[in-house]
Amino acid sequence: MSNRKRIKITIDGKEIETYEGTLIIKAAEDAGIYIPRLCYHEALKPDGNCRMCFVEIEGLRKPVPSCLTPAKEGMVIRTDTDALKKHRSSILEMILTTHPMDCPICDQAGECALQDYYFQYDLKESRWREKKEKKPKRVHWGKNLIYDAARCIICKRCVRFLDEITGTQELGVFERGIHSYIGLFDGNRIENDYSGNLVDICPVGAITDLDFRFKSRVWFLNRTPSICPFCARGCNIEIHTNTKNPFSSQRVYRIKPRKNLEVNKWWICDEGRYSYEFIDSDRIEYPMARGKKTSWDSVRQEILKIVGKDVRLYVSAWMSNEELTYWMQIAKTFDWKLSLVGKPRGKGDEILKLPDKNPNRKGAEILGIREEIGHEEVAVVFHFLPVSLERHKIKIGIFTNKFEGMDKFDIIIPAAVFAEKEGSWTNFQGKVQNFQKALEPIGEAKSEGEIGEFLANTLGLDLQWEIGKYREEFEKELRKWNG
Amino acid sequence: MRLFIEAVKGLGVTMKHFFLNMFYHILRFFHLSHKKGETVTTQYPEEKRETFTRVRLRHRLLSRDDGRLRCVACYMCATACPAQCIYIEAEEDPRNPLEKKPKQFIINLGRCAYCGFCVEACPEDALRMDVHVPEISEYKKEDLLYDIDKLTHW
Repeated sequence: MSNRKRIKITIDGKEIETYEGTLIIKAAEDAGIYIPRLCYHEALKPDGNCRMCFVEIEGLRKPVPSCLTPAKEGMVIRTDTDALKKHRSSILEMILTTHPMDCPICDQAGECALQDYYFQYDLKESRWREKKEKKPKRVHWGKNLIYDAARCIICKRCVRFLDEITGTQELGVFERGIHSYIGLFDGNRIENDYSGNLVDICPVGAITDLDFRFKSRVWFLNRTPSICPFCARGCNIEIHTNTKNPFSSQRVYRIKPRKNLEVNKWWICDEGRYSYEFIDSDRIEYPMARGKKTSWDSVRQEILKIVGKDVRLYVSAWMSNEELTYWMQIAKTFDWKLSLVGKPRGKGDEILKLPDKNPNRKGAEILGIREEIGHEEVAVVFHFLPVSLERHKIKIGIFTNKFEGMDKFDIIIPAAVFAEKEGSWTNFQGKVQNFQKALEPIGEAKSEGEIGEFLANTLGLDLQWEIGKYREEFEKELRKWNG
Repeated sequence: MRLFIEAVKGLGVTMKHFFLNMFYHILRFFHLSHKKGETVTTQYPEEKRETFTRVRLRHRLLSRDDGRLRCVACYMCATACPAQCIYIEAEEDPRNPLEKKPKQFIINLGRCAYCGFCVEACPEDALRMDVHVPEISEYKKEDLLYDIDKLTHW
């Protein structure tokens, strides 16, 4: 990057500085000027088939596609002349001659590029009096992908994604002209781990998600920025929730990626995208004693029994940095031992997935918590079962979801999952990333921080859970660790 | 004393209307006059007042020629509803070309403001409102939740 020449160009009267050879559409976007596009995607090689992104350059007779034209020193570019608006309107009119107006049944409605551009640039009645082209609808491409050829505008983003990002090349364009459609090559199904991203990059509703199909309209969803907990990479995600559906107790409707060039770029894997059920189903909603529902008072009684005994805390690699720091503080005060539990290692790949399936193992490492086996009398276990639980006499569990062997625990305290609390995780690069609270905790569940405060207060320790304070303490540790 | 005068004045107004009305009604009874202006009580269940054509009353879900509901569960009505009293659950319709149909469609008439926005918003003309049938009543609050069954049959 650095050896490329810095140049100055003018877009819509605004002078901007960029590198020579940067595509105009990219340079404009970096400067805050949005040029409409359907086929161009930052992550993919430009194709220039939709013709939406045309701009006028002074000195050139005709408009040029900004997604194929590199910037040169002194270019004067205009993006919003009347001629261009008319051009965009004509492009949209042409696309809409074959596009079925089935927005009422299309899941993309509300976040559809074609819909948005229509309202922005076209907004007139169709002059098309012929019949629309009939094309196959409801084609199943893979586990969670459903394709509607009629809605497809052949922007080829999906084809390019499978060529360039995953390299699996399942899709191609078949037939020509108005009859063309995207299809699977013989006998293929899209079964790679990044297929869900096709739904995100499709600018229209041609590729939709079977998992989200007809569950909710997109404008009913609340979007909360969060971090994916399923591996150590910590992909930036958005949790889409709706708690007002009277027919379903489902709260999380889908997971979408957020752009972060340093971590996950634009993508997330299918494991992270479709594994959100644990937030809503099989949750522990009340405190349990030996597999039976109990009250918080009896939890307090049970906790008082551990006074004066040797305790081992099995903190988990799914807890936030702040919670780990806070629990360390509690452990230090009572002179308890600490070890780490987490999910076992799984498979990784070259794109995003890492073998470490815990979001915050790095954070625990920074705080100096290691995986150890102990045989103290009391065990306080978070989220995951450690190897040698039988050696402990009193077992206190802090769990989010139901599991087999719950009745072996003297007390299980319901904990909030990551979507129900705020905090931060440290990913494998040592980047501390925040996640926000998307939902209220289910039932009587509490966040690990609040549980810590409850436990400390029960044992007569005045140590309050303040997320900001423990964030600062963690940052101190992080600075020490970084040297 | 002044209060007493005011009371008598007020009673005078009442009496004036009473006797005037009685006079008109007697004339009417003997078919002597049909002067409008007398106070009339509509004897409701037997006698019904005419409603204006612009009134908006209870909702109806319309069907297509082949018997399927017109509704495609697009949630436009639910989105437009200011009282948020329309609840829809969508499901896949295996019949082509409409892919979507409502599994449940409930209007809470207890909450409805009868503004008619839902009818305006409907892209399929599936939802309409009655004009001349003012009877919307239930004995229980729960019965005011009108589902597909109640909304399609009349």
